[in-house]
Amino acid sequence: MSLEVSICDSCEEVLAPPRLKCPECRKEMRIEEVDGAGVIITHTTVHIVPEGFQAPIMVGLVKLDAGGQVLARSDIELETGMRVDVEGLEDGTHRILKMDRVSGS
Amino acid sequence: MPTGYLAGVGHTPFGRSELDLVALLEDAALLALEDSDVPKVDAIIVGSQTSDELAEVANLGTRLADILGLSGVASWRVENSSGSGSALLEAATLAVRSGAYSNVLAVGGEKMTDKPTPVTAKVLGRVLADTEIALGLTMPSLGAMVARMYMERYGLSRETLAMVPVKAHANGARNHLAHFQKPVDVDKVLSSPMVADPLRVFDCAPISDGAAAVVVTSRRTDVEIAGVGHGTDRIALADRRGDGLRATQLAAAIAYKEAGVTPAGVDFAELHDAFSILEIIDSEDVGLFPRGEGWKALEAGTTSRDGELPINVSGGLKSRGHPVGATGLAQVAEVVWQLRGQAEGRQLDDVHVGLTQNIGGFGSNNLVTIMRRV
Ligand SMILES: CC(C)(COP(=O)(O)OP(=O)(O)OC[C@H]1O[C@@H](n2cnc3c(N)ncnc32)[C@H](O)[C@@H]1OP(=O)(O)O)[C@@H](O)C(=O)NCCC(=O)NCCS
Ligand SMILES: [Zn+2]
Repeated sequence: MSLEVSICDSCEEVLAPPRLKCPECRKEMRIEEVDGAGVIITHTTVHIVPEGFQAPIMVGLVKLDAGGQVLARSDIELETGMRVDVEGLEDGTHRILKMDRVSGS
Repeated sequence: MPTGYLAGVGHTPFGRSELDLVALLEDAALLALEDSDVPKVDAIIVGSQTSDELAEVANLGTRLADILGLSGVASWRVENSSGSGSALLEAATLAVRSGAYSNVLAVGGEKMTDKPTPVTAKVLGRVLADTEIALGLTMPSLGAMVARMYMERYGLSRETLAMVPVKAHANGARNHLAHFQKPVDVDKVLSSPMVADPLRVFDCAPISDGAAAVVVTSRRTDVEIAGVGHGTDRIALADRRGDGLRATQLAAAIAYKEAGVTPAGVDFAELHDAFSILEIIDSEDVGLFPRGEGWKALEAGTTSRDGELPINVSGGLKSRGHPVGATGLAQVAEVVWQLRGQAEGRQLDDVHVGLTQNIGGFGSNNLVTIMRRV
């Protein structure tokens, strides 16, 4: 799977989802499609959700192999340190999938 | 540099209130004015995170001037989400230090219990990044992710984390203004319903109504506003780097420098424990303990009311309650009462320097204030 990120070459910063300007130096960011492979660094299952959502919601924070971190929804049980694959969705959110391939391929 | 002093503080009871937001703000303001010997204030600053949505009322500046019989006086609103209270103190201090005003009334409050929890959760969550809102995340969900990260990285157990609310409730039981005034034990915390795994209801600050106020003056009183620091961080949790909350670390560095104090010179602190884990992280971010060791101080009793460095003797956000726009000023009121020797039922011995730390957003816009008895 893959997703879009933005990169600031001066700050060596990678952000997902992509944005136009770097939050630290205001330089224009370069947008790139990168591989979704990464590792879970923390996660939660939300039981009390805001109006308009259905509980439970599972989310994880993924450190991407390509650099940067992305917060994404998950349908699979998560564990810290677990290798996962992240897919960027049309609506700008992200989804965590099982890693069922050799990372980076 | 010219400095600012605290002339008076006011604090309504926190919890579920029959009063509307403006009445709460009025009560806190009158208490602060009564507590001070300032004959007339020359400016009013009002704060609320989200009065327009939760209390359905706007133009708070004018309303307050009008209702307090201070019509004609400059009056404006400051908003920095749950950090509004400290931002009010900051604005009042800067207004006095600049010489533009001599006596400033700062009032913050929130009326949160009118709406059902899912609506309040949605409204409070508007401070989050768009990407987080789109996923259906709430303030407690981010608290939960930060909690898990800290626990796994530094070996904090779920049982020890529960000692934060247990301590908060023990302290709040001595505060007649607190939302919750009943001690609880670790079992009670760990058997409360799950909000966002691993955080349960008793790891979260409640939804409260209330207001707090201060009068800041250029004239010397017995409590000096020695240092005020303010910092920000990137809004999305995923975009942040480094350990702890950078916004607090930046704010603390400024406040210590202004006050000419080091963390070793702080006698007690009121920290933003909106979620149990935050008290531990905050205590490290303001430099009271090394990174990863705040929980050891908690476990050892160092931060208990009879410990070496009491944290949240008021009951903190957890037990005192968290009417978001009021919290920062409620923290200041506690510090002033402690420094003056007026903290009835919970007075600490021999305290000279107190610190408050107040979070806006989910840790993205934070303030640290240092006050000194003079
Ligand atoms: C934790 C939370 C979801 C609980 O809300 P809730 O499930 O709607 O709770 P209710 O209002 O239905 O209360 C049910 C009971 O739990 C108690 N209760 C509610 N919140 C509580 C809390 N945080 N701690 C302890 N007890 C709590 C109530 O007093 C009530 O007790 P009772 O039955 O004896 O009267 C809510 O307090 C919350 O969202 N807190 C976080 C607020 C926040 O994000 N603040 C901004 C942070 S900067
Ligand atoms: Zn940059």
